[in-house]
Amino acid sequence: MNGPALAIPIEARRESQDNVTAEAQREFAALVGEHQSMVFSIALHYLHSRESAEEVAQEVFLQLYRHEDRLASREHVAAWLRRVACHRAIDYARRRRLDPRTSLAECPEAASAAAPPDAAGDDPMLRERLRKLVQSLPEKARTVMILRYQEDLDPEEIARTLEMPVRTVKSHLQRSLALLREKLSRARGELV
Amino acid sequence: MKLLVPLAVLAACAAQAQMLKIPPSFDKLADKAEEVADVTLDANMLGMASKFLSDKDPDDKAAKKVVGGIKGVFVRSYKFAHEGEYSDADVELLRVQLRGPGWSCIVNVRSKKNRENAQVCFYTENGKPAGMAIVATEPKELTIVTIAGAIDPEHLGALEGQFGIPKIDLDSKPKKQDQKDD
Amino acid sequence: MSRLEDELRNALRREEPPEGFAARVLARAAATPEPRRAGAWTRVTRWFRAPVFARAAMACALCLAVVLGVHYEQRQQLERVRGEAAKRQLLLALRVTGSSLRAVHDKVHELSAGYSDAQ
Repeated sequence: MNGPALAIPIEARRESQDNVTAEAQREFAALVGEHQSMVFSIALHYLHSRESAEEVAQEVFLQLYRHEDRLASREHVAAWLRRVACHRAIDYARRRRLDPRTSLAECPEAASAAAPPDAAGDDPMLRERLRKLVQSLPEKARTVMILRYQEDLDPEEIARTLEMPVRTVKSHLQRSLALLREKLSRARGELV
Repeated sequence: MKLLVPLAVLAACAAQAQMLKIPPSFDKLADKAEEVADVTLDANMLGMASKFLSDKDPDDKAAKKVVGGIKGVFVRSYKFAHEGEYSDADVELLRVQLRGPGWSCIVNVRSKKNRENAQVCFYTENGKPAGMAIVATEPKELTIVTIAGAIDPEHLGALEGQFGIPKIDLDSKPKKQDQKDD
Repeated sequence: MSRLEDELRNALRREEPPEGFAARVLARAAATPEPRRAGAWTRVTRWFRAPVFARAAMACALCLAVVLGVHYEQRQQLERVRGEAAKRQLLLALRVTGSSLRAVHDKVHELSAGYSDAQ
């Protein structure tokens, strides 16, 4: 593209480059705005720390910034962000040794005398309990559960995102639900 | 680019990446495993992958360094829900090959208590490095890695600093452990 | 849908990041030294800023490219898809290799420490 570029006066070329940069930054800002909640939440539910989640989410978007020109479409961006967010969260936990690798069986039982749910039926204690239980799952099971219940992906979509067999995804879902059910029913005797 | 490649050539390329003869019983392990990592990359695929590695991404940059002199990568890693899903006799068939000519195993670690076993071996041809292999077994996990080509041990150290793996100082003295491995 | 799954959806619902998150990301991105590539709209509109004769030449070239380029694009796309897939496989392989080496190294250190204690 040397011909057309050389025919443009230098000042116009500089202005053209500034326009290019501004346009690119607007596009990137739009993507951040659209997906920040998704990316942050994946990291948050994996790491159970807002501070760590923000750090991971920032890294994910910076990686997007470096790779954006290679992504084909907006749908591709969302899928890419989910996959990278999961990998980055796993890497972060390993590096910081935030993943204690305790088995779910070692998690303490919820206290039977929990705060009652509010008028709308939302039970903050249960919500927090479930988050901690999900966070104590092994790496892959944890990411599968987050993609299923936060992002509402079906097993085939989860399999594509995490590059694992569909049957493995379903196995993780089944086993994780069974474990959570068992832990909760011991404490509350209600959820099935 | 030719899209049709004779099967024999494909098989030969895969075999070069593989380096070790894998027992036929391992074909069924993927069905039994909860998690599988299954990668076979010959020189052609490695070249293709390298084109898409960016210098701006730290993981890609590290991968580019390692891939430099490599002709093939073969990985089979299985995680099982239960013990006893793979046969120790079949793993021994792999280990026998690593005792063959050209191979020298620089690390051979065994824990009877945890029933873990790991070997890291290098292959030389005409006095020059030509490949490496890792065979690691745990009761519910089996990992086989072979890399064909001139793998630089220094670049192996780089692998520990990327892809989320903590960097380990190989010269540091080991810390005293409170628990004993009996 | 079971009640547990409803509760999981509730527990794992999306949350907004802290105040100012987007601004911090954009600030870090702006500080990135590598020049950004143009957005799609800018890439397209750039064609129309060149002088007339260049536009005419470009139009001819474009026609030719349209005729010949479809097949080439498909091959490029195929190569890109295969290349990206190969790259993902390579990174996976290197992850597994790195993890295995780390595990071996940890084990060597663990056993060395046990041996030192025994001494």
